Amino acid sequence: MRTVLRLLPIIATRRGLFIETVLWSAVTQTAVLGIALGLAWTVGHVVAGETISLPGAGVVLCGIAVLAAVAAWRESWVSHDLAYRLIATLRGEVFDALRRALPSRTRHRRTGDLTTTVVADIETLEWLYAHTAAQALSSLLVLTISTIVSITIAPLLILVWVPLLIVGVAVPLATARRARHDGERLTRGAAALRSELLDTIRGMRELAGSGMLDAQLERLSHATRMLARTQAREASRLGAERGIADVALALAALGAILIALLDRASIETAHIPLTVTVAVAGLGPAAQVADMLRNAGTLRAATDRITDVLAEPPAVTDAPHVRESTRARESGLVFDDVGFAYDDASTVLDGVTMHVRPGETVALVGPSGVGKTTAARLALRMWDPDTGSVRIDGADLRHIADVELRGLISTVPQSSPLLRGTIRSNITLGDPDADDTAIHDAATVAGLFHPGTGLPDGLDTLVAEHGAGLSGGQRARVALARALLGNPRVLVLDEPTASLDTEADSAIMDVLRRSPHRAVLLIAHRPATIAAADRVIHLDGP
Amino acid sequence: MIHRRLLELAGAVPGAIIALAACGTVISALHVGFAFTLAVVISALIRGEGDVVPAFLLLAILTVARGAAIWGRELLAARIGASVRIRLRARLLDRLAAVPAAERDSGATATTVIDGVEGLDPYYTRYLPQLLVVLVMPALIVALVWAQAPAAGVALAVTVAVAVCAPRVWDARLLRNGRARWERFTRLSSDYVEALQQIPLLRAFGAADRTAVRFVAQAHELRSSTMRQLRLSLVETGLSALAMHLGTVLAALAVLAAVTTGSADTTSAVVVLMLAGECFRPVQDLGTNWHAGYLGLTAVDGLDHLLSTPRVSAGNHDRPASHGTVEVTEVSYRYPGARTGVTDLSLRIDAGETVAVIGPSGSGKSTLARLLERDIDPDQGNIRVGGTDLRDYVPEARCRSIVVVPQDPVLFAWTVRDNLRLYRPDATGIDIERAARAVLVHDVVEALPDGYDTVLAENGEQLSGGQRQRLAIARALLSPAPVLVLDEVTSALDTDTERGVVDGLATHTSGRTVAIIAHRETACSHASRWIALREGRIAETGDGAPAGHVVTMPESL
Repeated sequence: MRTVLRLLPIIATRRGLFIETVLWSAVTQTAVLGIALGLAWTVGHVVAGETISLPGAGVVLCGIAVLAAVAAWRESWVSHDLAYRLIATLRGEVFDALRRALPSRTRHRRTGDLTTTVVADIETLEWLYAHTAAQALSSLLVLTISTIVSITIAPLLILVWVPLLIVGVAVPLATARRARHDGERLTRGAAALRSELLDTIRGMRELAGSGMLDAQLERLSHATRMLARTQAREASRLGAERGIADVALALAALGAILIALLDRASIETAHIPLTVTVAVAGLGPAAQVADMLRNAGTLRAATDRITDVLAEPPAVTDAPHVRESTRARESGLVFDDVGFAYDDASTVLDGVTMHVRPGETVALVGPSGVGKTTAARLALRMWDPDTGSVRIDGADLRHIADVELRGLISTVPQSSPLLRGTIRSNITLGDPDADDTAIHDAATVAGLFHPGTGLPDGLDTLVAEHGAGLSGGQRARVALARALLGNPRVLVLDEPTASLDTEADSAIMDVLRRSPHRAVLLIAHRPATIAAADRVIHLDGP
Repeated sequence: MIHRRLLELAGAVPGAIIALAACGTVISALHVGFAFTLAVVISALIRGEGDVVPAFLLLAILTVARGAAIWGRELLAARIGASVRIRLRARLLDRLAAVPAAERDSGATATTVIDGVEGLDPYYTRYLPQLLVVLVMPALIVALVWAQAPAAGVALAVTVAVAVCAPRVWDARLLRNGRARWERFTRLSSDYVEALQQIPLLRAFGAADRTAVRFVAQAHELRSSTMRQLRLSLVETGLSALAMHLGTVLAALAVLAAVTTGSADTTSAVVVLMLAGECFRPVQDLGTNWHAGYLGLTAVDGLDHLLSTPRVSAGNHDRPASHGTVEVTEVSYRYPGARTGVTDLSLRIDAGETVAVIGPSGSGKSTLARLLERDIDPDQGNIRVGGTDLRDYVPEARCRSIVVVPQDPVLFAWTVRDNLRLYRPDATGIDIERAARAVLVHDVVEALPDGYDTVLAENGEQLSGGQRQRLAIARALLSPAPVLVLDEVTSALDTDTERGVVDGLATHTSGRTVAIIAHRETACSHASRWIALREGRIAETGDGAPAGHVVTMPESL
């Protein structure tokens, strides 16, 4: 329960809506109780032979009926408005946490897992915010009214419904452990299924080409079956608890009858229907709370996953205002005695020192897996080094505001990843407001308009998921245009031309070398590409 | 509302729905029996006459039966729901491969297959059965009340009719709005998937916060869309609540009026009071179930779209190629909306040959690889492997005839061992190690925390590009297929490693047909022949490994 409570404070951001929900909920519940008690009272008195004004009672009761319906409508409107506002806010917070925390140095969580949290787990909270929190509060009012009425008409009645109310709350508490366990299994299972499904679609070519697709689909079906088994278990528990809750309601009626039988003298004849009605109605709040407790397992599991993401530490923390360490006379990209490890077990970079000066292209070479891409990622400040510092024009990256840093440095990441959209939307990733001339220039330099590139729709060519629809060479050129768009001071190129032919490669290297102000750190393997660099730095590993 | 297409999608569920409806009817009848008996007991108490003990015992029995029936229904619903989900998801998964690469949207598909199917469950297991219950029970209860006091019966009949029929007026519009909401939900989920996969890219370009801002806007649009839809459905709920409250009050007042004129007795009055509420219970449940169920209805477009994707046709040649001859005859293929592809391409690679396919970017090399893998089919011409047209193979046999390692191979979040066994599930530890050693990746694997049993991160993220490429080559080496096509698989390797890998490949593929697609002559040093492509056609061919000048100066061709 404690974890769930952790997500309640967010309600405070919409205090007005919450209070309104509580109020309307109180009106609804009171009005519904009023109709039940009023009808029972009226019927009791009429059949007991007393004269009461039926039209008068009718007007009052119909009035309450209209009030109950209007209040119920208003309550559900306000409560859903509240819930979906909170959900949208929470989605924003969760994605914010993730965009700061990723890429993670050690904890590789699968996309499907994270997506499940931001999409499905958060959606689960609708139930907490729209149907539970406020209602639990307002049911206290109903409890009070029932108690007062009970004491007024037959004090013994309390002995009937209060124990049942306790039973109603105790049963879901007793099964809470199992509920929690199943809740966790369900959310975990759903997340695993999504991850595996995303991988299946991404690796469709491999799976179809290896004949393993059927086996993989069977794996997914198996996951569905395992999930269904847990769901059935969960349904069995919920069903049993619902059955018990229903029995409790019936027992309340029976208990009231029993009291009326045994203590016939102290209850007025006209109050007998009311006695039964109030005993049953007294259990209403318990039903509300029990319903919340019954679903607490799933809610808790979802909440745990959400708070877990929210607690992910950011990959780097901004401290842009500490600038005293700026070395005025240094220019270009500098790695100063940089050490970095993904985890405690193995150091990737140890005491790496290099300097890429403006107008210079430096090739970073070394066997695969030695940490070249890691170095590139440090230059881009995906993470901060454990020891030493990375500087641009004398300023430690840690002390450059992110917006400023992204204007200084750009990159062609390994295997040139692209996003869905068009070639134009990909090129303008770093600057959506770039003017057409700049886009055109970058694209021209990258060779996108070269007839051999084969893009009849030019910049409007559609790009599908993971760059599908473009060839490796076309992707490389788009990625290059994207990197060149902002005319960055520092360019970090991680095998930018691996999927280009040698001619295109050297044409592009020529262009890159043309700017006298730009420092280029180039990770490359091809001798010709390396030869085009001004200097070569060998990375040999720690 | 009954959605015919959805019934078709679920397959044979009518029996299950009827069973659940029967369950619901029994529970409703138990409620009515309880209320009726309770009324009789209460009126006996009021009149102070008659023996209430037998009726009291009956109430106790009904109580137990009702509790048990409610539990039973939940069990049955869970079971039926599970079988609907399993079957529907299996049918959807079956079509995944048929979606063309350019239209694949993993996030949206996952939403359809996971959330869409999950959301449909209540439609089948709650809403439809309850619809049948509503057709039976309220009418029955109205008749019972009518027998006690006709005026009360009329009041109840009218209000129940309103409660059942009024919401249906909006159902169509609700569904339309719902589809728009579902569309947004799918879009948002799919965008999250892509962004979360590409956070490093977004951060490197300072686009992460922009994306976050866009997502917040999208999340709020989803909220508005949801609320637009709720505006209707909540009015529905309010209307049925009004009908219910008024119906109960009016029926009770009607019977009381009859009591005062002497045309009804105490028992009737209490019976009507108790039954009026029961009359609305199934209707209210229908409303609740509709809300749980119609969200699933809105997912039907996505489901239908996927299910109506035509399956890729396959032949029935079920034996893998016995020899590795590759014949490409007058093949043309053009990507939709692009100028690239291959034109009238004919080539033949004999069994056991190692042939280099070279040419500038966009000359059609990768298209050839995709064609050979049957990731795409030629617009014209045909491709035969081992003498059989690729389209005539059953998929399993085709996979055991030719294996293509693509430019950007995908690794799965399985153990390294399972990844390596992709093309040969029965490969032994020794086979796996030998393949890994051949392409110099054994030491890399050994250095991982659990060696070959290390579970890889998504797409092997903890590995470098070159390590990933070598795992993909090792994986293909294990395949028993006589033809191996390698599409620039050493592009991320340094020269020394590349040389070692290429040598290892040559030793391990002797006797097999190998097509090496490459930009660098170092990648194809063991080729006995080369074919240079240009603009989708063969520009030149030659014997031996392609000399440096051929690869580096394609303009001269």
